[in-house]
Amino acid sequence: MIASPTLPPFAGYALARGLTPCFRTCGMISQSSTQEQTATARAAAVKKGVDMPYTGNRFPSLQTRRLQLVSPAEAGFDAHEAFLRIGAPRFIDAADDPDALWWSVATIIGHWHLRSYGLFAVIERSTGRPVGLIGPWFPKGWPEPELSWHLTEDARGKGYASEAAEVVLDWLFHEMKWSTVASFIPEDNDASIALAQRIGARPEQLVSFRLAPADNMRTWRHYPAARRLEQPSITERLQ
Amino acid sequence: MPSSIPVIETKRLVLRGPEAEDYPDFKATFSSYRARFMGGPLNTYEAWMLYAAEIGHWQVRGFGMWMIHDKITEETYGMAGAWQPAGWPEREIAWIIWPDAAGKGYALEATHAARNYLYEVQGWDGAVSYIDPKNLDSIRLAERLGAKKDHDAPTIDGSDAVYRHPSPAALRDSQLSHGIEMEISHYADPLFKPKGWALD
Repeated sequence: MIASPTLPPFAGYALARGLTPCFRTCGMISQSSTQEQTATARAAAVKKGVDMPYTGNRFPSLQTRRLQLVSPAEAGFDAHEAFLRIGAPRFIDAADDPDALWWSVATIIGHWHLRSYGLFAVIERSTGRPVGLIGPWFPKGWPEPELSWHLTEDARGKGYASEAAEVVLDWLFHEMKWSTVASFIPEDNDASIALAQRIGARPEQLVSFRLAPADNMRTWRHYPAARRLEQPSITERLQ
Repeated sequence: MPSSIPVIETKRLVLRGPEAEDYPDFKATFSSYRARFMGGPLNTYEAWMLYAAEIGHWQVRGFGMWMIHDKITEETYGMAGAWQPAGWPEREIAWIIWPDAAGKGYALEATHAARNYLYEVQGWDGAVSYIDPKNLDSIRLAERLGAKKDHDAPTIDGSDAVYRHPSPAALRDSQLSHGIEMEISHYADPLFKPKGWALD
């Protein structure tokens, strides 16, 4: 009856809000136990022109000691509740344009469907609150896939960013079998440069590509754990 | 989300959620002159980001734009459906048909089916379409669907015209919807060859 054990822990909190009766109640009523029942029910629902949300995990999900990383494209994830409602946590260095966040979230979700990977929503496990978005970002026109992060004000000073970045890098190198990944960081963004250094990235050349969001960006290349640079300070590591 | 987007069938068409394999057709049209009333010809990045946003729109809003496929050959003809990103005053019904599929009544058929679904299944009580005043083809289509220009409705940025669609009650089993269905069946009839320039 309740959400299956494979759904992320926040699913109950997100589903409670519900966007459209059609989507949510259909999913709740038709929690079938066998695949065959689900397939038949789905075929019948499609024939009737009514959708039936897929209730299993279609996208990867990662976990650390304090954080849960889930894809915002996952069927049970309520992106509006997590990032877009009035009173949702504000992002650091958010754009002035109030609509930009809506477009960013919609595009991030679409990126997952088009690339089969993308930015994970980072959820603090103790409270269920979203604290940011982090993951590989590769729209058409980007020179290479980029490890990109967007953190909320709540994420400051807790070491969440490096904790999430390290689990994403491990996933990229070991499960997705990527050979390299970089980040494009403006030279004046000290917080992001400090984060890149903390997770052992090496600075490379200044980068400029036609669609670059800023014009003074440097490539910071990431490495698997065994080859990372020594962290400059170990105080954040004592957790 | 594409797996949980409802599928709508009409006589000639199937409306499905936008998928990765349909992207090249989308990009070709949005990089062309045909997109001049929908944000202008877009470069590769903008077209890809818009397509991603169209997919994500389904997740964030619970409704969105369908991709129009031919029922038999599965080729894409365009997109039709609901559209309400950030900053839109009201929920919009929108459509775009690829240039080589124009003139066959696909937009009329797809938009009529999509509007029906939104009214009857999702329970909408009305809809608008925001159309560039110079976009005569789309204005003609909106009027054939029964929409009327609403001079008092809020626009997106002041440079678009708002066409308000008939309410579900005015549309349900009415002369208007019978007329639209008759026109669609004429387009679907291979013996029907209208004189003059057929607008899609």
